[in-house]
Amino acid sequence: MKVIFKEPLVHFLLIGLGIFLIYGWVSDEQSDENKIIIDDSHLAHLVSIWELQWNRPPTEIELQGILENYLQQEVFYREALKMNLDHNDEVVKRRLAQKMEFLSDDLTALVEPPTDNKLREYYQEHREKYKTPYQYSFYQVIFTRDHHQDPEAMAKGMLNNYGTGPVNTMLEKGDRLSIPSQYNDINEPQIGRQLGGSMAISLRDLPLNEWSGPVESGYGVHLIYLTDKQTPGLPEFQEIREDLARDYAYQTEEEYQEAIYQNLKKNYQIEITADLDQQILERLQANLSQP
Amino acid sequence: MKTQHVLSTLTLILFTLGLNAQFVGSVTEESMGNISTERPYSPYAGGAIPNKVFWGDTHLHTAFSMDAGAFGNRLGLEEAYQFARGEEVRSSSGGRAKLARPLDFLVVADHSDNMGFFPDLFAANPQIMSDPKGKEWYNKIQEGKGMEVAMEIIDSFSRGVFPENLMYWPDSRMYRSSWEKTIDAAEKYNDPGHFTAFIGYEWTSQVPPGQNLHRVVIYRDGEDLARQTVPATTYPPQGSTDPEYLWQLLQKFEDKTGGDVLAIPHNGNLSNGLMFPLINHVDGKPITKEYVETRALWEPLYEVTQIKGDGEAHPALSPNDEFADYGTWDKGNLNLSEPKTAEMLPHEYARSGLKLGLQIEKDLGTNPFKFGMVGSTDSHTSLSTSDDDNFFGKHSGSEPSATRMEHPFAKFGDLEIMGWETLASGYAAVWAKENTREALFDAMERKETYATTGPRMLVRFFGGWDFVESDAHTRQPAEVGYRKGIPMGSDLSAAPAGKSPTFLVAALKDPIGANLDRIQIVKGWMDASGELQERIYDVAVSDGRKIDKNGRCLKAVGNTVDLENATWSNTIGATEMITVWQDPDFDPAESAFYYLRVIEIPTPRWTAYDAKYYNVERDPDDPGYHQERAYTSPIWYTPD
Repeated sequence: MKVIFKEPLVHFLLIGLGIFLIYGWVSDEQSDENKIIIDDSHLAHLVSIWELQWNRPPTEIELQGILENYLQQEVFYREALKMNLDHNDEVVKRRLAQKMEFLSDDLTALVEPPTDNKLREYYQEHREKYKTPYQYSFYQVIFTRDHHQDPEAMAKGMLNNYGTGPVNTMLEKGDRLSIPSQYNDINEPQIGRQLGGSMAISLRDLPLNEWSGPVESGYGVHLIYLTDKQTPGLPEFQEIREDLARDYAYQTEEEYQEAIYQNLKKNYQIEITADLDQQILERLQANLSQP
Repeated sequence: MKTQHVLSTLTLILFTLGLNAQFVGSVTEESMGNISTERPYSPYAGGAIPNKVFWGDTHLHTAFSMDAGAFGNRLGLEEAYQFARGEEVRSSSGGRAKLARPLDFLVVADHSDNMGFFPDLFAANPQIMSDPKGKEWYNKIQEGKGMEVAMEIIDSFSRGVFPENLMYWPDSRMYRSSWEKTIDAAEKYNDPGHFTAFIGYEWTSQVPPGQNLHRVVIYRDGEDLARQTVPATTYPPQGSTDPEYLWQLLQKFEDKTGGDVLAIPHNGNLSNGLMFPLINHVDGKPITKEYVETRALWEPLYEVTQIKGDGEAHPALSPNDEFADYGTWDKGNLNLSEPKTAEMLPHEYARSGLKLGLQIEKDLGTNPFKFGMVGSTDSHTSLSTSDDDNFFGKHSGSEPSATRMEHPFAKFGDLEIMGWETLASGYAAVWAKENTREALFDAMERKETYATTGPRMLVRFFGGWDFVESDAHTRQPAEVGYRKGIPMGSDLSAAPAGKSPTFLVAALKDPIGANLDRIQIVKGWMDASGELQERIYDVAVSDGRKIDKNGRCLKAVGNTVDLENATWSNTIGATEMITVWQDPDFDPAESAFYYLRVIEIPTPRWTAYDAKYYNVERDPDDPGYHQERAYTSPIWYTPD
């Protein structure tokens, strides 16, 4: 808790929001229950809605009509509250829940724009996502089921017979397929998308500068001659700052929303007394009670 | 008591915010945003020819589209882009969703009419709430009757009785602000070299009582130009459903900004005969020289396959084509308010549209239907899914559930289209040199594109006069293809005396998908007597089957689909097919077009995956499997 209160951002939020919201609430509380006050901001709001529709300011008679409508709504609203008509009304519930959601959205928006420090922190936490993927250069030959009963046996045979010979000799042994026989600096996701199968992952374990395999792609069975392998690394912060800022904003909003909900939920004891199959009931009870 | 409560809730919220640094994200392994620049192997890459195929969706709706929002879509522009780039998002119905493979590009094409209306309705915007109808809709949505509201909104809109006070007119502040947000999001996610986010919108022309003349509009340029105007809309008096009106506005945009835009029509199958017209529905007169010239100028592509049916061919128009009855939606117009009749069909399907184009060209000098092919989803979920094992449906009400197959998709009187009839389709494949707005847009303009119903097979198609069999014996068909001929979407003319056109065709299966059954060339032409003809040639078939003297292989490839388990095996079909074909029936005096259709071996439909996952029965009319396919842009031959 101590650490959190040292955060200047939290100070700002606490002070700003606390004062704003509580003042708004307290000042309502102080007003007389049976007094309806129409102040500047109320009036401006009502008039602006009217103007949006009619594109001109209201006349005095029209103003009286606007206020009469407003008063009618306000009076009924207050009476309804006194009679607890807001309780267990589905529409009211949804609207209030929605307002709460918007409120937490706004709070999230307040932590923007992200500072370099925040982004560096975010980068630290999500290192894996921003790592440059494995990258390879290699030669390959392929044996497909179009041309071979058992392409794997075929590949193994070729590896035995020509695996230690010149690279070009082996290149002539494979099937003719309209994919390149040589790739330069292609990364793992690209290999996955272009060749399919387990090929992309399989390359990680292959040795450099010799024919090896077989490994399987979505097209067939390959023998591979790796000439270069780059293992994953982390790009410089500045290089990916824009990506970080975008992803941070997107993700924090989602996470806050969820975290706020989960934290608020902790205040409630959730009990399902409905008549349900015992096993289902236990599972629901257990799952719903935890985040 | 109350004060204390507010305080404790606030504290909790703040506490949560303060703890931010300790959250560990749920983001997954693969981000396509950080790929280092690839130095291509190909000696000809980076040079003269387009050597890469880029995959995308030219037609995706988010919550900004009023019907999408009403159907329950809560995912906005950002989620749409995140998802397309391969990130995991939570769908509107609550489930986690992620693509098997990211897309290379995306066009968010929200409806231009009332763009951004729904998020405002959902948030109880005061202006909307001040209208009785707006309030009623809002309340209904709050009561969980969003579907009802969606139907009412769509219906009142297509009947021209949408409440005027609720309309987001293009000259209003709210409208401008929605358009700005659309542009902002595209700019934010456009990442030249890695991911292209086009600025775009859908001009949703619905001619009463509900004939579909929709077009997606795509911008080549960025925010500077796009911000100078707002999209064209359809609702009078500030908009119009007449396509010629749209083309005028596109012309105005280009004149004003010097920019470049194009339009892609879709769902002729729901236009009730208006998509490829000879008679202009606006005035009941034959289409004019001006119509055909402007259409040819603005509409280089047609969206031939999508969730609301496949529009390549219709079985009644092509009775000898055993593959024509794929994803056929032919009960009526978009809202089923008017049933389909036989005479509408020739004006609804791509193949017959291409044929009509030849006829019009002879009469008016320009072919207005000289379009290339793309597929796209038209999904209204912000999720561009077209894989059958990962299909999130047409709109948020049809996201994965045990009952979605049996929900009517549309219903009017006795006519009904069931949920199971929707297609997990399609994507657009674009041959280009690099993944940028400019390169992809230019490829679209020259029609170097093809459509698929979802799988990502690689398809090459070149036409010329001198291809020989040995040209097919290469690892790089493109190299010889461009050297000796022209690619898909282009023109052949000046036939050398005594020669008949040759075509180099190649298809490589989707590396994580099904094997290939066959490659076909579909030829359409106008014969000496002015009659329009079509014919299908099988040019490459799998498993050693024979092509007969009529150019057909009538033997089916077989079927390995295990419906129970929603699986199949690649024990039939071919990995790759490549061949050179020469038209045996060529007449240099007859105009013609040729396009490729590549057919996969049978695989389960999305309904089979649903049936297995939810342990429910499929509809008895649903076979549960299908043969997915690709359609290339045609190559046209025009006599001198």
